[in-house]
Amino acid sequence: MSYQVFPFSRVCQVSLRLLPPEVISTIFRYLDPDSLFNAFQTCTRWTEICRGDPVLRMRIRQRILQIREQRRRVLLDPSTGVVVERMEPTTMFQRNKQHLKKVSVARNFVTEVPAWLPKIDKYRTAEPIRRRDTRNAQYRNLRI
Amino acid sequence: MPQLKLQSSDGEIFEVDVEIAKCSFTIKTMLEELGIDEEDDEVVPLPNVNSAILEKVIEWATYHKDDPPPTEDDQYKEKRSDDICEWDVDFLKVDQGTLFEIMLAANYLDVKGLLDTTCKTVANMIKGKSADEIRKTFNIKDNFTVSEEENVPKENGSCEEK
Repeated sequence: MSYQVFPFSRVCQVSLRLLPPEVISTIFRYLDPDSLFNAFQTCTRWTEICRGDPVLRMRIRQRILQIREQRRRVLLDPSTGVVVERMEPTTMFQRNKQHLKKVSVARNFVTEVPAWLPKIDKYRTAEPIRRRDTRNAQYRNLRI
Repeated sequence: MPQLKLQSSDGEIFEVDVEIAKCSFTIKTMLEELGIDEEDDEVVPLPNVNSAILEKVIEWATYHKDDPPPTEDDQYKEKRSDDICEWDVDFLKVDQGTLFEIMLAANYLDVKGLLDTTCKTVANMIKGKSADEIRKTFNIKDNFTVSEEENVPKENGSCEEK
């Protein structure tokens, strides 16, 4: 079943806003966790609606935990991790601690998150609206 | 079969069977609360629905009048959205504005089947899209602010060396 993208009209801008929150949360309950997580990050109103609905909130929380778990597994996997190398051991007892090569474990790794990991769309590619708004401070961390 | 007159917001009057009108839980409750007189020629005003949308809703209700009443299912279970019948898919091939107006009307009239079907349709439009694509599809403005973006915690911050 395919759905075409309908032509945009002035009406549809207004109409989506006119839909009451309970209708939007009914829509969201039909979504799979991935799409729900994307919808959750679409705009502050949808974020608010997801946070207000216990079922959606639970699902998004599970999804976030799942993503974190996946990332953690990659980080801790010896085949992808960075190995800390030591200098040659010194003769003096416990002195070699200071001669650790300066290899930062996680910082080097961060640049190379594997492409297959689900991307968290926090760093948006679209041009954001340059506007400061302190009212929405509670949504800063996208945590639920 | 007794008829009921429904008046849309722009004054047009639709005559429908009471059985069909009872698809709408709002009208059904109203009829049960107030009672209905066979000879009475009263018109039910529906100030939130215009004639084009009301016609659509009546068309849907006429087609689905023999459907079994929807059952209450477990809300914690994930629901399927791909079980829309073919007639409904054709019926809902309209532009977004009309679709949302049908949803508003279905919500106001409390036609559960129609509301579910339209919700599934919109859910299918959202499915498999990234946040940016969703914004483009529904013409939503991204109203997360700059300061919020800067304050997003670093992804792997917790793994850094202490």
